[in-house]
Amino acid sequence: MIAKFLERHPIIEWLWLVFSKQRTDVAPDQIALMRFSLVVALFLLGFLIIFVRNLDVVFFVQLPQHVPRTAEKYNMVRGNIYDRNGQLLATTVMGHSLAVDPKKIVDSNETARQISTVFPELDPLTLSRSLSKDRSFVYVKRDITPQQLAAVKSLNLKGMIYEPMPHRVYPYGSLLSHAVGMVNIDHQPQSGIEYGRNRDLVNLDNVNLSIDVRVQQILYGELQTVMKRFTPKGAGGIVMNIRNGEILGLVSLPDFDPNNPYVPDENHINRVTSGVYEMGSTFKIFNTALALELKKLRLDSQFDVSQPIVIGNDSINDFEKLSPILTVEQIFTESSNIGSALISDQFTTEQQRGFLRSLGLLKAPSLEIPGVGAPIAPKNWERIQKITVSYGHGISVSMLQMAKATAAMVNGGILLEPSLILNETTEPVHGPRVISADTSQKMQNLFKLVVQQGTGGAARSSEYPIGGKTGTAQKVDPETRRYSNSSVNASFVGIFPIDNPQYLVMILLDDPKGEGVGRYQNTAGKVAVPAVSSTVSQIGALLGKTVGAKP
Amino acid sequence: MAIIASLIGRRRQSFTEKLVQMPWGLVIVVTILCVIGLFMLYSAAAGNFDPWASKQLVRFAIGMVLMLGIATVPIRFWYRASYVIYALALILLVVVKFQGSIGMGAQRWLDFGFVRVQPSEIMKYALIMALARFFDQRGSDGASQWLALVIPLILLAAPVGLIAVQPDLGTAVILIMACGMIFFTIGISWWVLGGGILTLIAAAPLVWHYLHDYQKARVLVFLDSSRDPLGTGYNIIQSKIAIGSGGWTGKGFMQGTQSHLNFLPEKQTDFIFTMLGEEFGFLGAIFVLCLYGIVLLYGYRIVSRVASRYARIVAIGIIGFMFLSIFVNVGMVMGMIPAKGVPLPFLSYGGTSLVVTLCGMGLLMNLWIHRDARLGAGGVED
Repeated sequence: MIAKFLERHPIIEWLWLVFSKQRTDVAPDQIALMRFSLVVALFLLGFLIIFVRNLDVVFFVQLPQHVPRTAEKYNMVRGNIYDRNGQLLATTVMGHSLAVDPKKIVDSNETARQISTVFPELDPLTLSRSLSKDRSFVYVKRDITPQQLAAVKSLNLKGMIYEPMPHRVYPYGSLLSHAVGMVNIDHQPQSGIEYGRNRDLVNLDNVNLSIDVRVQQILYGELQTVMKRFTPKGAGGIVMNIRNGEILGLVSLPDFDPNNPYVPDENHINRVTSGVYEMGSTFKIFNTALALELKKLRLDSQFDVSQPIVIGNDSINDFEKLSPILTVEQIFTESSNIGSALISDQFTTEQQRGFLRSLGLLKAPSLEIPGVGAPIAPKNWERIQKITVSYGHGISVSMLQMAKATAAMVNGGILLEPSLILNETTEPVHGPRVISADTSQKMQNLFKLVVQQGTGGAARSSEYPIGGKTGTAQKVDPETRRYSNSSVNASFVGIFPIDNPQYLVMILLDDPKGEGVGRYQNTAGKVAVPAVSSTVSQIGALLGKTVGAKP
Repeated sequence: MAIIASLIGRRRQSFTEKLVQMPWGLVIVVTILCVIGLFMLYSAAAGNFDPWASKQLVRFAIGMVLMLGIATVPIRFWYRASYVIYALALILLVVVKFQGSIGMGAQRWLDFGFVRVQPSEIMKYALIMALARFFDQRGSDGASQWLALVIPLILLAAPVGLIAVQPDLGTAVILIMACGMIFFTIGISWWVLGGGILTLIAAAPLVWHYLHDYQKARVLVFLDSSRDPLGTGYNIIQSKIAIGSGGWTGKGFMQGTQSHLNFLPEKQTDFIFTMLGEEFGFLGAIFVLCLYGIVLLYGYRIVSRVASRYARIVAIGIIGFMFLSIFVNVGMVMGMIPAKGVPLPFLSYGGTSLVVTLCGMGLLMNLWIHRDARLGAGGVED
C-alpha cells in the first residue's frame, strides 16, 4: 500500500523527476517543465512572503512616526527658552544650508575644488565623491554662515541649492548645556529642556526656566575653578530654592557647547541628575534625622565610639581617631562612622528603608529634562546594609535626589519636587510632610554646628551664614572592586542663610586630587566646602532680598 | 519585407489567425498594470501629467504597438535573429561604456538624440534569445555535460561584466540569477548548480572589494536599517512608513502625504510601489501583485504548451526576468533586501524599462501564437 503510494503518487513522481540526475527514460523537455514548475512554485512562495511582509509592514512593524526632513520646516521653528529674568537662552534664527543636485554638475572634481575654497574643512576628494552620488539632492554643508553663503554664490557654480534653514542658537553656549540641552541638526530635541518641553516648544510656546543666568554663571565659574585646582574627573553643582523646589543653577562639568556639540559622549552626561554616587557622610543627615524624629535619642545622647564595629569579616572605622565618647551632635559635626552605625541601631532596617523611600531616595526623581538617573539601593537590606547606608555607602543616589531630600530636612519638614520651570505664583508650594518642624529645627542647628565647629569650617569665611554637611566617600576601585584608599567623591551640601533657610547649594567633585602633601587633602572639607562658600558669597548678594547678611 | 517573407517557414499563419490566437487576457492584464502605473505617476506629480505621466503615456503607446508587432512577426525570424540581436546589444553596451551619458552617477544610457536607450535592458532579452538558440541547437543532451556550459557562461559573462562596471549591480545580479534559472530548468545537474552557487558565494568578498561606497553603504544599512536613519536607510524607513500608513485601503488617490511631501526619493521610479501602498493600501498592493500573478500563470501555461525548446527557454527567461525584478523591487521598498535601482515592471517611470518590458511581453505572446512551430534541432524542416 505504502510502496504503491510512493511509486505512483504524482507528487512523488514529480519530485523524483525534479531531483533525479540525468535519466534516460525521461525526455529533457519534460525535465525542463518539471524544473520550471519548481521555479514557479518558488515564485508563488515569493509572492506569499511579500504578502506576509506587506501585512507585517502595514500592521505590525513599529516605526518612528516621522523621520524629519526639510519638508517639515514648520516643525523646525521652535519657541524660545528664557531664564527667570527673561534672558534669552535658546532661539531660532533663519540660516541657510548648502546642497547640490549632482545631476546638474558637469565636473564634480572642479566643483568640489571650488566649494572647498570656501569650506577648507571639507576634503575635496570626499566632496567630489558625494557630488557624483546617485541622488538628486546631497547636502554639502548645513547651517552655513551668511558670509559663506555669499562666498559660494559668488562662485556662480551650477547645481547649487541654497536651502533656507532655521538655525537654533544658544547665546550662552556651554553655560547651560545640561539644563537647556540641545536639538540636533534636524531640530529634533536631544537633551535638556529642549527635549523635556519639546511639545510646548514645537507649538511655538516659549519656556521660562527657574534658572537665573547670573547664579548659573557664578556656580559655573566656581566649578571651573575646582576643576582646575583639584582636577577631578568631573564636578556637579546645583542651587535650589528650598521653599518651592525651583532650581536656580545647575552645572555639570565637563560639558559641551550646544552650538557645536561634537565632544566625547562623557561630556553629555549630566552629573547632577543622571550620575549616581555613593554620597558618604552627607547621608548621616537622614540617619540622624530619623533617630531624632523617632525620639530614640536626644542631641546630647552619648555613644562610645572608641572601638571599631565588627560585622563578620568587615570592620567599620573612622577617618581620624576621635574622642572615645561622642554626643549625637559631635557624631554629626565630626562625621563619625562608628557613631552613625551606633545611632542606626536605634531603629529597624524597615524604618530606615521606609524613611529613605519617603524622601524619594529609592526611586528616580522627576524633573523636566531627560536623563534623570535611578538610585542603586541594596537588594538585601540587613543590619550590615543598614549600618553602611547610615554613613552613605552601599547606596548610590544622584545629586538631584540628595538636594531634594536635604531641602526637606531644613525647610520645616516638607518634601518638595525640584523643578527647572519658573514658578510664577507666589503662593506657598505644598508637599508631603516627612519630618516634624521640631526635628527640622534640630537639623538646622546641626548643619550650623558643622560649619561652626566641624568639618565644614572652611565655610565660616562666607559673607552669609551657612550650614551644611560634608561627605567624602571612598570610591570603588574598578580594578580591585574594593574601596580605594585614595580615590573619593567629595561633596558639600550647604544651606543659607542657615538661621532662616532659603537656598541649598550643593557641589560634588568626582575623584579630586588634593593639593599639598599628606592625607586628607582631597576631602570634602578641603575641596568642596570652599567652593560652596565662595558661591554663596557671590549669589547671596544677588538673592539679597530674602537673605540677611551677617550682622 | 522581402527578407522577412523569406524567413517565414512553410506552415505560416495568416495575420488574422494570429490576432485570434493572441492571448488577449494577457494583453488586458498588462494594459491594466500600465494604466495603474500612469495613475501613480500622475499622482506622484501632485496631479499633473508633467513631467512623468505624459511621457510615460507616449512610451506606453509605442510599447503597445511594438508588443503587438513583435507578437505577430513569425517566430522563425526571432529564432534566426537571436545571435544578431545579442551581438547588437553587446555592441551597444560597449558603446555606452565609452560614450554613455552619466545619469545619477552611473553610465547607463545611450543618447540617440530623439530617444535615450538603456542597453542593459535590451541585453536582458537578447541574452535569453541567444542562450535559447544555443541550447536549442545543442540538441537533447546539450546541457548535461558541464563543458557544454562554457559557451553559455561566456555569453552571460560578457554583458554581466559590462553592466557591473557601469555600475548597475542590480541588473547584473538579476542577469546572473535569471540565467542561473535557465541553466537549471534546461537540466544541468544539481552538482553543477551547487558548484556555481558556491563559486558565487566565494566570489562575494572580491565583489565587495570593487563595490562603490554607496553600494557598500546600502548593503550595510540593509543589515541594520537604523544604522543611518537620515542617510541611505532613510529611503527604506520612509518607504516602510509610507506603506504602513496606507493601512488596509490606503489614504486615497493623490492623498499620500509621505510621497507628496517629498519624503520619498525617486517615488516615480524605484519607489512607485510604496506610493501605491500608501494611496491604495494593502488591498491595492495585493491587487497589483495578483495581476502579476496572472502574468506568471500565463507564462507557466505558455512554457508548458510550446512545442520547441527554443520557445520554452525564451519563455522561461522572460518570466524569470520579470519576476526577479518584481521581487527585487518590492523586496527593497519593504526593507527585505538591499536597496537597488531596479524598476518595477510596467509601473515604474522609465522609457527603456517600459518599452522593453512590453517588447518582452510581445515576445512571450509570439511564443504562444506560434506554439506549434518546430524550430532548429527540434524541428524537422530545418
